[in-house]
Amino acid sequence: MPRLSGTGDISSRLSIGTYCGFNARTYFELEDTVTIGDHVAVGQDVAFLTRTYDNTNPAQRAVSSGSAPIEVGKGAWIGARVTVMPGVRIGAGAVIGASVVVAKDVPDNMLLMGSRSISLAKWR
Amino acid sequence: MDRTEPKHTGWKRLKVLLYEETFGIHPRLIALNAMAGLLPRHKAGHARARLFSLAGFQIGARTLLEATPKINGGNALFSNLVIGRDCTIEVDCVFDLEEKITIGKRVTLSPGVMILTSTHELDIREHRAGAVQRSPVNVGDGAWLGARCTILPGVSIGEGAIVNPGSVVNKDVAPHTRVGGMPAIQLEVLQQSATSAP
Repeated sequence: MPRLSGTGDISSRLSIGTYCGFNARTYFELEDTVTIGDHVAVGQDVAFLTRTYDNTNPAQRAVSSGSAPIEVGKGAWIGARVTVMPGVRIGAGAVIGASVVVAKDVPDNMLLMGSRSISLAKWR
Repeated sequence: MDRTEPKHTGWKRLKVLLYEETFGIHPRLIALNAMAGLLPRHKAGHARARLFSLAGFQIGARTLLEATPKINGGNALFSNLVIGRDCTIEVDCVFDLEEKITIGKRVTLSPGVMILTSTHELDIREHRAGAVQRSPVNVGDGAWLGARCTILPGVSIGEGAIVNPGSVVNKDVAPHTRVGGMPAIQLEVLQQSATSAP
């Protein structure tokens, strides 16, 4: 069962393509849009976070400062326990290994595992 | 993309739909979760373990289940989890029982440990997660798995090994070593005491 949170009209902010697969306990924080392309597979305990924080105030390091959208390209595969941070675009055919925190954009056909990344563009 | 879906009509379509929507539902597991859910978290470890063995899982004597682990899996789910005696399974553990998970004696699983037994084949760029692949996981006697570590399919953890918190283990761990990181690498060789285990 996916878990959803967010304020306002959250149902219009989530769009999922055809032939996608989501394993148990996917979490969508729908402060902004989350767009998932066709043929995307998502593992257990994956979180899509869209709420952003401002950290310039030393008295309170996490001040809510808005939101940023997430986009996942066609055919991508997101492993178990991955955390997708706000504003990230995961390219088409990208593969994200288990437990990775995706904080910046992932190019098309890139495989991420730990801190390493390998391009699958030449593979197939 | 030349992946085509066979088109069924009438009864055949209803049968396929019913199969797809109900495949992998275990009434016994639902009943077990409902009963074990009544027990307080962090408490009633022995009672919860007893409920799990009554439901059909193999759980050894004096093993503690501090909270109901999250379980999913295929047809052979109840025979796919074997836990030895004197183990402690902490809260929020996840067992993916598509294949066999064998946990030895005196093993401690810290909060949030995830043991996976199924993954996908790396497929074409239009659909990276291909056919499902299953492989068993084995945890040796006396091992200690740190909080929120993830054990990937096919891994075997040696006796007396320690897995650091938060690490992702993607290959076998030698006995009496400490591993950590993402992916986990060997950090230390631990001393083996001459005294026999309890």
